[in-house]
Amino acid sequence: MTDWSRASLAETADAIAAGRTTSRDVTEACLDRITRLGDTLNCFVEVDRDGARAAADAADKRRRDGAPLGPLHGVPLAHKDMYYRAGRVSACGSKLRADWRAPHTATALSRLDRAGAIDLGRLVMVEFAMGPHGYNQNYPQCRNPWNPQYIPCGSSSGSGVAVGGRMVHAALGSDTGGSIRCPAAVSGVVGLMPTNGRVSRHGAMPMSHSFDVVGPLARTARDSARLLGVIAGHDPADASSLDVAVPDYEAELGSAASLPTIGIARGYFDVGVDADVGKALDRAVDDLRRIGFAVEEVAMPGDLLDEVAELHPLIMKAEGAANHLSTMREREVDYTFEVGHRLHAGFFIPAASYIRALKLRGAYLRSFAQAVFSRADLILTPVLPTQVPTIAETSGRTGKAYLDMVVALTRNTKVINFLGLPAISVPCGFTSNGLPTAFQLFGRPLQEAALLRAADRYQHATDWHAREPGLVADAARSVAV
Amino acid sequence: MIKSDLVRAMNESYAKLQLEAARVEELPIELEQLRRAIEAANRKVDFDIDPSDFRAALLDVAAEPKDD
Repeated sequence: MTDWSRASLAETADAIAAGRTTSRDVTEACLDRITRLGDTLNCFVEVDRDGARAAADAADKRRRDGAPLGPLHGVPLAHKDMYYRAGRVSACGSKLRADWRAPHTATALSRLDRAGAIDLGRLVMVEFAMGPHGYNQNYPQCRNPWNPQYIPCGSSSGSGVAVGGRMVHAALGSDTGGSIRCPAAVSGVVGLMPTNGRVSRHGAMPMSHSFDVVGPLARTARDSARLLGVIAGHDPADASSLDVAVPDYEAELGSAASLPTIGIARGYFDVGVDADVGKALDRAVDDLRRIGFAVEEVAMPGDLLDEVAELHPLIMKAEGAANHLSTMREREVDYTFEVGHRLHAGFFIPAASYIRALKLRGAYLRSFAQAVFSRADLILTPVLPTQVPTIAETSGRTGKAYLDMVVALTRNTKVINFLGLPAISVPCGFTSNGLPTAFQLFGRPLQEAALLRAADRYQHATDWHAREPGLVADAARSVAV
Repeated sequence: MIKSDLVRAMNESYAKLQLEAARVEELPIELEQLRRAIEAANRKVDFDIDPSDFRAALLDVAAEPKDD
């Protein structure tokens, strides 16, 4: 008998639509996995078991009645606890909003609802999405599904763990400096950060208005394509939303058009790469060539990227500080250490410098694109240049040591947020500590279809994305026994 | 050089946060890092550029053809 909780989202949705399984059976399988692994991995803030079962039964009735079905009909998802649902708590990983009920529903959630998805609950995140490590002192430590002694990364920590741990088929995350791509990479799943403005942020908690991007974490590129097709598109409720047509991303996976050229980044992104990570990337490049991609080395504009890496925190901290000034004055005791360390400096950035940094973004994007995309359509880099660190290695740091850890984890991802480009994190192997590693592909604005097509071709030729954490296999065996 | 006295004075004048003494001592290190970004921004910005130029740049770059 197929355990649909371990199948991909696309396979599961298609099986429900065809009547090969029911939404209720799939939902029960996911709830059972959550029961078995939830206390070990701590990735859920709240599981809405009764609500999910009722929604699954309603989905099954719709199918039996012959009603039109959406592309995610009956599939259980869960989302980072910063997507608002009217009348429901959205704690944003914080004490400050522990009982706060959202006044409206996020556009991304509304679109997932309309596509038929089931919402299982709220996923753990770093407090107010401010931290790449995955700590949040407000909750029990969220842990990596491949080895609970290792960090899950963040800030979409619960999203990566729940998808990697086969508790849900996909989850929304958000990415301001790497918060979709890093958790996806260390949990062995696909993380897609669309172009800035491609997906509405209406009803998503703001961290930094200039950089925040909404996107999915899922098990395959095809799953990501299906999800992006649902959530992408113009939304007048978000001033940054791009009014540009949305392609059929899933149909484009099978396009007969020539494959995009892939550039291997030389300079900036290849600094400080761990030997095991480097080997995994070399093997991925060999696989991509074997599949038929033209691959060539492309020199990165290192000076520009070094400046971008410094300008990113200038804008992010200033915007974060502006969002939090009132509550930090009045209730600083209710913020955790991590948020203080990410925000305090933002209160002392001169307004003129913040605005000047914003003025540089367009010019830097144009320069970068001219230097890089004239040579290749997509650029390949490591997501994390290092192996995944343990919780013990990274916890309890203060001052400069804490800030250095943040810089190391986000070096290869935050510059892409500054430039506003789309990027995808794709599992490509394991390092000597047994943890997954991944490559990042990024491309021109609005080139999500090319990113997804390249990742999908790669996943047809490799099986890194299909490997499961031992905890999942153990839990499945105990069910079978 | 940014020193803790300056952080303390700016906090008292503008931010008005309840910063612990140890944090006030740490902040100059981080602000020095950010000052490199501030200096970089100060050198290069075009007078005529609007900060919202970034939206136009995204669409311009999206439409540019690749050199063959």
